[in-house]
Order: sequence, then structure tokens, then C-alpha cells
Amino acid sequence: MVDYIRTETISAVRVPEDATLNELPLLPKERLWGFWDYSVVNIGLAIATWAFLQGATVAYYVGAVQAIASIVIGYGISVLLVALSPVLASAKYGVEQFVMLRSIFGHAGARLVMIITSTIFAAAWSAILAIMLGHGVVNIINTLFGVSVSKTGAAVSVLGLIAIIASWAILARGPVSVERVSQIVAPALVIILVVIVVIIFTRVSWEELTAIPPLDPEENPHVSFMVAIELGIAGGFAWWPNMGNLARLTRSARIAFWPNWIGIFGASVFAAIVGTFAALLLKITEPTDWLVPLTGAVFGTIALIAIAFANVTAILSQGYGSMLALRSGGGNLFRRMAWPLMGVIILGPAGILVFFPEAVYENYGRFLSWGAILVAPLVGIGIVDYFILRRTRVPVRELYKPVATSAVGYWRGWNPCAFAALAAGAITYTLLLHPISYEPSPWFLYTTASIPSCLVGGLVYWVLTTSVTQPLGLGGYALETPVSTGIINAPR
Amino acid sequence: MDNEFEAELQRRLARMESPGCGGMVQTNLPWKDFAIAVGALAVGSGLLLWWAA
Repeated sequence: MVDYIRTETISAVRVPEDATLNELPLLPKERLWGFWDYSVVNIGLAIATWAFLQGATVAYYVGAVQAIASIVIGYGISVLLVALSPVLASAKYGVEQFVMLRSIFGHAGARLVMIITSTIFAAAWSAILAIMLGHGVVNIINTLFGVSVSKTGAAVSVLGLIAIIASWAILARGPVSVERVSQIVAPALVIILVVIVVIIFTRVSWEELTAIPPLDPEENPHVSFMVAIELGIAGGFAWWPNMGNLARLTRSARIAFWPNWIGIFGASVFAAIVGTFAALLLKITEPTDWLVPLTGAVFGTIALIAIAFANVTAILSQGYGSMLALRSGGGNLFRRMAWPLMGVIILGPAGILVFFPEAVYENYGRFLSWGAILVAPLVGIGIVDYFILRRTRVPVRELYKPVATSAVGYWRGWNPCAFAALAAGAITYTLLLHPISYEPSPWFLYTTASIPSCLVGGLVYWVLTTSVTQPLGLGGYALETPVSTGIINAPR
Repeated sequence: MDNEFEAELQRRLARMESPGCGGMVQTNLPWKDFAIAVGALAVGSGLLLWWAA
């Protein structure tokens, strides 16, 4: 893409590509999203069927009342933490979130974190969404034509693959496409959710709903409640690889911060609670299975179609964030690569995973836990570095210098202090809650696993940075940094 | 391509480091906003825990 930029010192400059698609710090005019634009994208991202699946998973452990409490508390904690890091730093400087991560992990370290969190997560999430879409479409076909197409057969895989290819075709056009799709899908989904709630309460009273027991609770109800909260926290942390890069496109800190509460908090919580209610009522945990029995063939089919589009929206948002991350952190090879080919790199693995629908789909809870093990300490480290150690002032130029000359190059591009903190946080998590068996320690009943993991990661990073990194003059903590006078009335 | 990219990067960094940051750097989120979010979350969580107990 060719564009023209006007700055105080440059009248017209030929730009090789839209800067929102690479790691260049953004100019004011490249900040695409105002408050409602970003809110709509956020809602579109949040109300995919994974929010329903999240709610259905909670229904295994707790009834309706405790589900509402645990989902709100869990998501609230994680959305607040993710909004602090990486959202605000990337939004403030218009810098891609994994480029910003170089200030903590070093160039090579940030690349490793990026590859693990961004590409692998994107592949797994996209595959889950595409498989759900396949399930939904099979349900539509079965409902409309009175047939019994299997949801474990090839049909789901082929439909999932079509969803992946369609997502790639849209994504190849850039972030504006995400916004436009979201503007249509998000309001439709909000309406559908409201209708589902109305239908649920025409079938049962509040008293009847809250009297329904959880589907498969732990022996100790307090353990069940804490696991439900932990699921909420882990669900919110799953947005970490994307939120910084999306917030980078916003026009102010407030626009970067508050729409998270409308979208990945408000919309996710609402959808998850609806998912819990429906799962409890029908004793079915697969979201695409309960829509038709709950709402009838006509509305159920319409809802399934809308949710299928929502799944594509979520794949687009996930894919965009991951493609941008790989381009900025993946070195010269990925920087030169055409944007559509980047889409193949990110969505290609998901296109393979959809051919193993049961293996992917049934590991949702396990996948969430493994994500939280990594993301919880990352969030703690990010908050400590940006707010406490750097006082929100990042030496942006150092992020882009070669490792050998950069103040954030640390040791050959690696900051072992950050990795030690990450490991400490991850170990803390696994000691409190086994990520595969979900076997909790006695402390878990009072602390959850993610919050201590976040705190330990941040604390260890602070101790090591103040005792090792800063005394050695590494990390660029003493450098002068740009001070903003505000972006709103800035020259464009 | 790389030279073009590098040149554009340097122009943008120079603009960011100019007085007023060339409009490229947002002001921080007001502490009041942060306090409202934390306060609402704390109060809401407390009420929900009481309700669900």
C-alpha cells in the first residue's frame, strides 16, 4: 500500500506499506479507532462461541448464582490486568506490543515469547472457533433438512477449513476489514443474547433456574467456586496476545482502556452467563447444540448463522494481532513477506488442526490453564516494568536499535531476569493448581492460581531488575524519553 | 524496501522525539479512571461474594 504522510518536517513521503500492518510507531492519522469503533471490535471479539463454551464449562462446577459471581469476578480481574499491560503501553506509543516487550525480555527474548504466545495461541484458538463453527453449521443443516450429519465426521472439518480460508481472505485486506465485519456482527449478537435470555426465563423462573445443581461439581463446593473464578481469570487472560495490538490503533488512553470493559468484560460476561444458564437448563454443554432445542428451529438457525459469523470475526481479530506480531518480531524474513502470505503462516496450522476436531475441542479447559500459566506472570512483569520501574516512560528508539547497540539488548538480546521472573510465576501457578488434572492445593481455596502467579512474576522481576539489571546500567531505565502533550490536537 | 522502511522508522522516531512528540504519544490514562475501574471491581466483587455465599 502506498500512502502519503505529512509531518512537521516532511511534506510527502512514500511509505512502503500501511504502518498499521507493521511495527512502525503509528502517526496520529493511523490511529483508526475512536471509542465506539474500538468498542464494537471488542464486542465482536468477545461474543464468539468461546464465551458460550466458557459459560458451559463453568456450569460443570457451580449453579446459576455462583456462576454469575465467579464469571464477573474472574473476568473483571483479568480484564483490568490486561488493560494495564500490555494495552496502555502499546496504545500510548502506538508501538506493536511485542516490540514493546523487547524493553522487558530483550529482542531475542521478546521474539520467543511472541512466537509461543501469539502464533501457537492463534492456531489453537482459530482451530477451536472454526470447529465450533463447523458444529454450528452441521446443526443448521440437520435442523433445516431433517438429516443427521455427524458432528464428529469429515463435515465439521471441511466446514472449519472453509471458515479458516474465508477468514484469511478477509484478513488479507487489513484491520479495516475486521472493523467492518465487527460492526455488523456485534450488534446482531447482542440482540440474540437478549432474546435467548428472554426465552430462558419464559421457560423457567429465576427460583427454578437457581435451584438447578451444577453438572459435575467438586466434592467441596468452595473448591468448585474457586475453580470457576480461576476459569474466568484464565478466560480473560486469553486475550493478552491480541489486546495490545488492537489498542495500538486507538486515539487516546481512555479509548484504549474503557472499551475493554464493554467488550472483553461486559460482552464476554454476558455471553458466558447466558451459556451457563442454557447449559444448566438443558444439561448440554456444547453451545451450538442447545440453541435449536432452546429457541426453536427458526430463531435457533438464525442465531447459529450469526454466531458462525461471530466466530469468523474472532478468528480475524486473533489473526490480525498474531500476523502483526510475527511481522514485527520475526525478523527480516517476515518483514519482507507479503501480508496475505503472513495470513497463511498464522492460519495454516489451524487449517490442519480442524481435521482433529475432537482432540482440539475437548482440550479447551486444559488449553486455558496452560495459557494462564504463561500469561499471568507476563501481566505482572509488564505492570511492574511499565508503571513502577519505567514510570510509563519507554525509550522507544532503543526498541528498534540492533541488539548490540540497544539499551534494551541486555545480554545478546536476552534478559534472563525477566525469564527467571516468568518461570517463578509459572511455577507458582502449577504449585497452586495442576494445569491438567485441575487438582488444587490448599492455598488455592483462598488465592486462586493466576493472581499469586501474577504477583510472584512481578515481584521477582522487580527484585532482579533493581538488584541486577539496573545497577549494571542495562534496560535503558535512566534514558530520556519522549513526553507527550496529548494526541488529540496534534498535527496530522 | 528495507532502506525505505528504515528511513521511515527514523523519520517517525525523530518526530516522536520532537517537542510535543509530533502528536504520536498519548497522554497517560488519568488516575481517576484507573481508580474508578478498581473501585467498581472491588465493590462489585464484594457484593457478588456476599450474594453468592
